Amino acid sequence: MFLDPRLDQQLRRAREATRLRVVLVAHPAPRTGDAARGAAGPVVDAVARELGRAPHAVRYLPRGHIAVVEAERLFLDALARHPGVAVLSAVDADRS
Amino acid sequence: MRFPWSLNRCGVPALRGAGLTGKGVRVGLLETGIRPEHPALAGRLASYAELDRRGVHVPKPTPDDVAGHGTHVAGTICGGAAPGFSSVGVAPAAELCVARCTDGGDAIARILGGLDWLLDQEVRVACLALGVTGRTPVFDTLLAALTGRGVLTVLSSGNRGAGHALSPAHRPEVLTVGSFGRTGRVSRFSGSLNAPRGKRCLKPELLAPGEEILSAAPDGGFAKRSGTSMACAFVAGVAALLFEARPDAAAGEVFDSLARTARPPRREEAYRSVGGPLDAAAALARLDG
Repeated sequence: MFLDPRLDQQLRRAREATRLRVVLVAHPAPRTGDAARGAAGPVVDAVARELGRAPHAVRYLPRGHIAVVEAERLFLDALARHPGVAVLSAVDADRS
Repeated sequence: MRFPWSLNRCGVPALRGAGLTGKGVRVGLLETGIRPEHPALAGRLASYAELDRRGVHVPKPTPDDVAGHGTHVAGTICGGAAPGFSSVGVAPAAELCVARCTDGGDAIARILGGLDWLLDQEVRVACLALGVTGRTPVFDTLLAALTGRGVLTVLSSGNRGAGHALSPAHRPEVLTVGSFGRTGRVSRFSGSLNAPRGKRCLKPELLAPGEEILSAAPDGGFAKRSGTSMACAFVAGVAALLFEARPDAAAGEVFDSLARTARPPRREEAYRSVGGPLDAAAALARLDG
């Protein structure tokens, strides 16, 4: 799993209840996901079940198996541990 | 027809003289926006989107471009006449699909929203004059989706100089473009990706004009800008001409025709770019051959 260094720093600095937005890219495994959410949907569902709480907001880009997730750090830590996650990134970056 | 130095240097007049204008070819741009009312861009805008900071579409957006970058890039791709010149753009009949997503913050979320939008715009070429520092794979799945739809994705190599490449310009499936100036030398700012040991260059594949480029300005006039974004726009415009000439060409064929016909780089600049300056006429000949 690729953890964006910028997000890694944000997560380290954040308190457990601090809300952050991240970009999740799921492994596009066969027979997972649906047309509306792609492979990211089942990953978010699994973490929500595990923790017994849902993220505050999710926007899916199913053709890229991507979700932009707004959630507390606790939820994002669990996402980072999920084997279905290929990339976890901050929503912003330094540009040229 | 009278063209600026930059179009002459890339061999564009030969293609324009053969009647190629980019007609029927859509080019996608992820940009700061566009001023479609600019006289040199009238009638070029086919579709427009604006992504907010969550990467969500703004309903019924009005095209605008405060920063001016998108208007300038658009002018190089398909701009019309400017004082003293027949056109500042490479492919003046090409159509543009522009997503405003590179001004302001939350760049990754917004660019991803823009890439997803481009999948529905029936573009043959995606001009991405953008990049973020470091090597992130966050764009990979949507870039692969674009490639899967037959889109040629053209990236700028970035403006941080030799040895500094941006994401996603480092990706092998995208055609990455660096910059050269009037002297023909690689621009000092032009970025490159080099092998870890030695200086063997891996990116960009070729160079295009990127210094003092005259194109459309957001105030309705014309202005000169420099950067690999400008160079990227030249290659996107030439790709539009090639797709017009060979509508059945695969994106990979156009990629190869552009990359493999670039003139050789100067020996002392071989670490700055895999290939040298763009040669549009040679690219067309290879595609026809």
